[in-house]
Amino acid sequence: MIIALLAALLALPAAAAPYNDAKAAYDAGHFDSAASAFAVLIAAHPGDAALHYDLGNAWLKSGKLGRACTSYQRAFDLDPRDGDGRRNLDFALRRSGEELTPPGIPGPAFTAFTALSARELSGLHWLAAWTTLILAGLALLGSAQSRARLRGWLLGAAAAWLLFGLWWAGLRAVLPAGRGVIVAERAELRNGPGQTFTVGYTAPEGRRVRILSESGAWLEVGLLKEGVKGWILASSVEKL
Amino acid sequence: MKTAALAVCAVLTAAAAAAADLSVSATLDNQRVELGDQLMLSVAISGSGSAAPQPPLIADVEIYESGKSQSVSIINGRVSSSVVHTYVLAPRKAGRFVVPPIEVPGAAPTAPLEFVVEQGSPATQTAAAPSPAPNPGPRPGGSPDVFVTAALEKNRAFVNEQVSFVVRFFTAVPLLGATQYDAPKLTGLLSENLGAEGQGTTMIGGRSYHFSELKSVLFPVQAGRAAIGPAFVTVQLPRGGRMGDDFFDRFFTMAAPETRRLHTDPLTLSVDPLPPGAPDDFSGIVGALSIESSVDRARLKAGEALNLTVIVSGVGNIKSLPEPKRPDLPSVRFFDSESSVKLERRGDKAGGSKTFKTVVVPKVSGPLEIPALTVSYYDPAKRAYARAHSQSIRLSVLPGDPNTALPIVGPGAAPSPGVTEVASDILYLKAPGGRSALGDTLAAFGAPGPWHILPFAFFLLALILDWRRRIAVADPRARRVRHARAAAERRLKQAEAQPDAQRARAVALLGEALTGYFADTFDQPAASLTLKAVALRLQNRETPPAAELARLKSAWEELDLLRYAPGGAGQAEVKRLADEIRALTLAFEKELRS
Repeated sequence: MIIALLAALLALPAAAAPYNDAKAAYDAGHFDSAASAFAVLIAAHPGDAALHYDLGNAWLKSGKLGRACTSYQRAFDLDPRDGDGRRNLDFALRRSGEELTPPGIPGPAFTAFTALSARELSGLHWLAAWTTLILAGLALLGSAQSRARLRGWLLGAAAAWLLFGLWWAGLRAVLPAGRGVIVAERAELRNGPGQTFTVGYTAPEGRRVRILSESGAWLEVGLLKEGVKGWILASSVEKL
Repeated sequence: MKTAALAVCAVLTAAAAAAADLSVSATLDNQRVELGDQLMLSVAISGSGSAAPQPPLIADVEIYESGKSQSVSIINGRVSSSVVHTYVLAPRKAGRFVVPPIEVPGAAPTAPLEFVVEQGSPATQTAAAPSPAPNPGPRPGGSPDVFVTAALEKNRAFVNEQVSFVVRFFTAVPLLGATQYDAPKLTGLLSENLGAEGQGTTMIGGRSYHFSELKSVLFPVQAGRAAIGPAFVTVQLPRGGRMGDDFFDRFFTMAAPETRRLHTDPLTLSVDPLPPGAPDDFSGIVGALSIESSVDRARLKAGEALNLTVIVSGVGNIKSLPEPKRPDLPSVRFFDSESSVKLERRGDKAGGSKTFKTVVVPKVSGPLEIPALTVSYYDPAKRAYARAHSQSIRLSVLPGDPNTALPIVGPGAAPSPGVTEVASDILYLKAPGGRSALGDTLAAFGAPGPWHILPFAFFLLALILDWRRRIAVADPRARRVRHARAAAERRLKQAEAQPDAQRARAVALLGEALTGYFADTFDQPAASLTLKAVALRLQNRETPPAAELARLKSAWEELDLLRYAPGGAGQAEVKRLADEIRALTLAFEKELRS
C-alpha cells in the first residue's frame, strides 16, 4: 500500500515531447496518428484521466464513436469532477442514443452523486472504517472518561462509514465493474452464444453495456439504457 | 463575390418575408373517374415548408400518401417556397364525393373539392353483370379464336413490394375495328404502368396465335389480401369466327362484325407486413436503392449559397420516396428542396430516380463536411433491411463579408446581441498530469489489500481485553486465584532487586511472595495464614504432595528465621530462597490446578 501511495503522490506527468507530438498530429487533423500516440502515452500513464480524454477526442474525430465513448468513460471514471470530460462523454453518448444523465434523474443530482469516483469513495469508505474501528477499540480499552471524550468522534466516524459505504455501493450499482462499450458499427445481439442463434436486437456503436457472462468468443451483455440483454461477439465490445 | 453575397442576402430576406405569407391550395387531377380508377390530390403549401397537412378523411375512399416535393423559386428577386403533398385517392364505390377543406395552422383552409365516381362505361357495366360473357381462354382441347389472360409475377408479396402484372390478348383470327382495353379494378394496390406493350406469335394447341401484352407493376399498400378485378378487352370479330374465302363473304362479314367482350379471371395477392426491425429512417420503400450527393461548388464564402443535389435511384416505388434526412448541421442553413421524379423500366421492374435539389448556405467559415446521407429500404431478395450511403462532401468555407453574413443566418431568427451557439462539438485537448493527489491517495488507500484486516483485528483485541476486564470485575476471587503465581513472581523479583542495604526488605518480600501465593490460592487473608493451615489444606487433598510439603516447611521456617535475624541473609541467600519459592509455587501451581 505504501508503494501505491508513493506512486500516486509522486506520479510524474507524462513526458512532454510525446504529448506534443500527439497534440500536433491532432491539430493537423491526423486523428488516427494522434490516437496511436495518445494510446502509447496511456500505456505509460494509465491513471491519467486527461490522456484518456484526449484519446477519446482523437477517436471521435476519426469517426470511431465506440472507442471514443470507451476512452471518455475511462476518463470520467478516473476524474468525474472534470467538467470537460463529462461534457465530451455526454456529447459522444448522445450520438449513440444515450445520455450521461439517466432519464428521470435531475442533472444536478446526478452530478452530485457522481462527484466522487468509485475509487475515491472506496478510499473514503475504508478511511472511515479504519477511524471508526480504531476509535471504538480505544474506547473499549480506555477509561470511562476517555470513552466519553471519544463518543462524539466515534459517532461521526461511524456515520461517515455508513454514508460513504452506501454511496460507494450506490455508485457501483449505477456504474458496475463489468462494463464495456460497443465498438462495432451495428452490433447484433443474439439469443445465444453463436451465429446459429437468432438476432434479438441490434445496438448502435458507442452504447454502454454491462458484461454479464462470457462463453468463448461471445459475451452476454445487457444494455444499460434499454434493460435488454443478448449475446454479442467479444470483438464488438471493448471492456472498460 | 460581394455582389453575389448581397444577392443571396436579398434572396434570403425575401424568403423570410415569403414565409410569413402562408397559403394552402388543393387540386385534383380529375373530377370524374370510373370505379377502379385513382385520383391524385395535390396539396400545395406556399410560404413555409414546416407545416404539414393532415390527409383528408373521405368515406368509402382509400387514401395513400404518395410523396412530397419541395421547391424554392426565385422570380424577379422574390423568393417563394412551396411544398406539395401528393395523395392517391382510390374510391371503393361509385357516387359523388367531396374532399373536405384541408387545414394547415396559420393558413386559411382550402375550398372543398368535388369529384364523381362512375360505375364504369356501358361495356364495363355489361362485363360486370352477374353473367358475363364466357372467357374463351385456352382450355385443354379447346382453341378459341380470341382469349385474354392475366397473370401476376407471384401470389405473395410484402407491403409496397412491386409485383409484375401482365395482361395478354391472344387472337387466331383477323380483328375488325379497334380493340378496347379496360384496366382491372384494383383494391389495396397502386398501379404503375411499365409502358411496355409487347407482341408476337405463338402456337397454342396446334393453332397459331398472335398475342399482345401489357405490363404494369402493382404496389400493395397494406397487409392482407389485395384484389385484382377482371381486365376487359372488347374486340370486333368476323361473324362466325372466320372470313370467307371469296370477296362477298369477306364483304358481308366486315359489314356485320361480331362484338365480343373478353375478360380475365380475378386475381388475389397475399400481402405480408414488413418484418420488424426497420431502421429509423426507413420510409417504406421495398426494392433496392442507391444514393449519391453532390454540390456545384466546394469552395465558397460564409453566407454564400451552393446547390446540394441528392439523387436516389433504384427499383421500387420511387414516386413515394421522401427526401433523405438532412444532416444535423447547426452551422449550415438548408432551404426547402425541389424534387423531381424520373421513372423508367428496369427489366421487368419499375424504378427510376428521384432528385432533390437544396440550397445550402454555410453560416460560418472553416472546413465543413456534409456527412453521408442515407436511405433505408427493405430488400425482398435478401429479406433484410438495408441502408444505402452517399459519399460525404467536404467544403472549404472562407470568411464571408461581415456586413452581409448576419442576415443570412436565418430568416425568422432576429439577430441577437447575445451568444448564439453555431455548432456543437467536443471540447479541445487537455494537458496531462493534472491529477488529484488526494484522489490518488484515497484510491490507493481504498484498493483491496490485507491491511484492511488491521483495524478489525485491533477492534477484536480490544473487545477481548474489555471482556476479560469485565469478567475480572464481576468475579474477584477467581481473578485472585488466577493471578496468585503472577503476584508471587512479581514479589520475588522485587526481592531479588533489593540492594544489600535493604536485606530485611528483601526477606519480607520473599515471605510475602510465599504466604501471598497460598493466601491468593486459598482466597484467605495473608495475615492469618500459617504454615500449619497451609499444610493441613494440602494434606487433605487426595494425593498430598509430600515432597513439596517438606520443602515448603523448610523454606517457610527458614524465612521465619531470617525475618527475625535479617543480618544473616546475604544476596546469595535471597537469590537461593527466591529460586526455591519460585520452584515451589510452580510445583504447587501444577499440583493445585491438576
